[in-house]
Amino acid sequence: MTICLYDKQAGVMKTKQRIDRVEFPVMACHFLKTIIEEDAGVEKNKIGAQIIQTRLSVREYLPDMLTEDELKEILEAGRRAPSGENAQPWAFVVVKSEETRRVLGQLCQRGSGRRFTGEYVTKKMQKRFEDLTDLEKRRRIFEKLTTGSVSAFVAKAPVLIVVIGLKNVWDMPYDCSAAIENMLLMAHAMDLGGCWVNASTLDIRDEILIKGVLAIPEDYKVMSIMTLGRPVAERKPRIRRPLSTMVFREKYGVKYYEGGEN
Amino acid sequence: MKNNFYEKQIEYLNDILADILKSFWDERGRGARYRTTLAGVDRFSGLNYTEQLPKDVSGVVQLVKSYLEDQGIVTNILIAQSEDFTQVLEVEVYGCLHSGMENKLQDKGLEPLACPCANLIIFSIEKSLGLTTELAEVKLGSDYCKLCIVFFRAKD
Repeated sequence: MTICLYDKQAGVMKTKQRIDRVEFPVMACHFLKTIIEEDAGVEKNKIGAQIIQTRLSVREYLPDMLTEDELKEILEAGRRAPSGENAQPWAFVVVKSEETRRVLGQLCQRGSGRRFTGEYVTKKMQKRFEDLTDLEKRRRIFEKLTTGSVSAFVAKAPVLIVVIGLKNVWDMPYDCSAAIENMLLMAHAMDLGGCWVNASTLDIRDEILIKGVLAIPEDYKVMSIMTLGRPVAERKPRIRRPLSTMVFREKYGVKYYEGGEN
Repeated sequence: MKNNFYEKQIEYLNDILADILKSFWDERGRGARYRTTLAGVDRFSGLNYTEQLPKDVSGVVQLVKSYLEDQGIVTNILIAQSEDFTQVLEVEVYGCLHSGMENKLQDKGLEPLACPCANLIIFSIEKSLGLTTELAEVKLGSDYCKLCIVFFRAKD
């Protein structure tokens, strides 16, 4: 006996399988189960790739709050991240209060503005952007960076998740980063927007202030702030370097891929 | 003999500090510098200098200079500009105890990753005047360091 699987939507014959008549019931079930699982696997790959490839950092949000179910799904994604020895050193402080968001937004603006002003005064920013020939665009970028407004959006995001990690864990920064990325991808998969912000956690002076605001104990480090909300508009992710520039065969310097993106 | 021994101790400590900072750089890269911005502040605060902070930039620098000279950490600090301090404060530090550490890092191809002298000036300006400050650059001269400190003022 031959079982054929016809994909009606695609209009093609997907596969054929010859099965002995005696074994038909068992084999047919197994065959169909395999087909269904293979289809689901292909679908899962496609969905996963699409989420990863279309994720982008969102900094402009609608004022609508996330639902508790949405928030919990995102936090759950963080919880499921890998961690060295399954230490799970992370903790997540959910911030919705307008006043606290305002304070954290100010810290982020100050952290960015301070650092970029230093870069501008020492001409490093000008060197970094020397290939940008559109002078008006360059002026706007410089203003956005040196005023810190590049990070001020934190105050306006409906929800912040402040990710903290236990210091006394070997792999804590990497573990927490995995949790953050999981949450960003989950948010994107739910058509929400998120952004990973380190503007107020890079300098220890700012981190100490955040710890004071959020009552974070000394044995934790403040890793990053994540902003979450519903994106105002749809945008495309920024360009990435091609794989050929970042993947090497057996040792550094021997390219794995030649030419453009593979 | 005593001077020689003392100098050897300083050299040893600066070598160790440079090694530690290099490890920090290897781990954290450019971010390492932002984790050392409070190095030296605890000691300064503990000696109650922060109770006497003047309300002007020049005065603050003079107070920090007094502390650093009294403690034998520097031989002199000069403000290297005569104009107002709207955005930038440039300071020259002479005879710094930490110069060995900075020179060793420079020999390894690294920019300075920690400047306790700058940290005290920045901390004191922030505490006394409420200005947001950043150590933008440390340039090493033959017998001095030139610090470029910037003030960030958020626009409303």
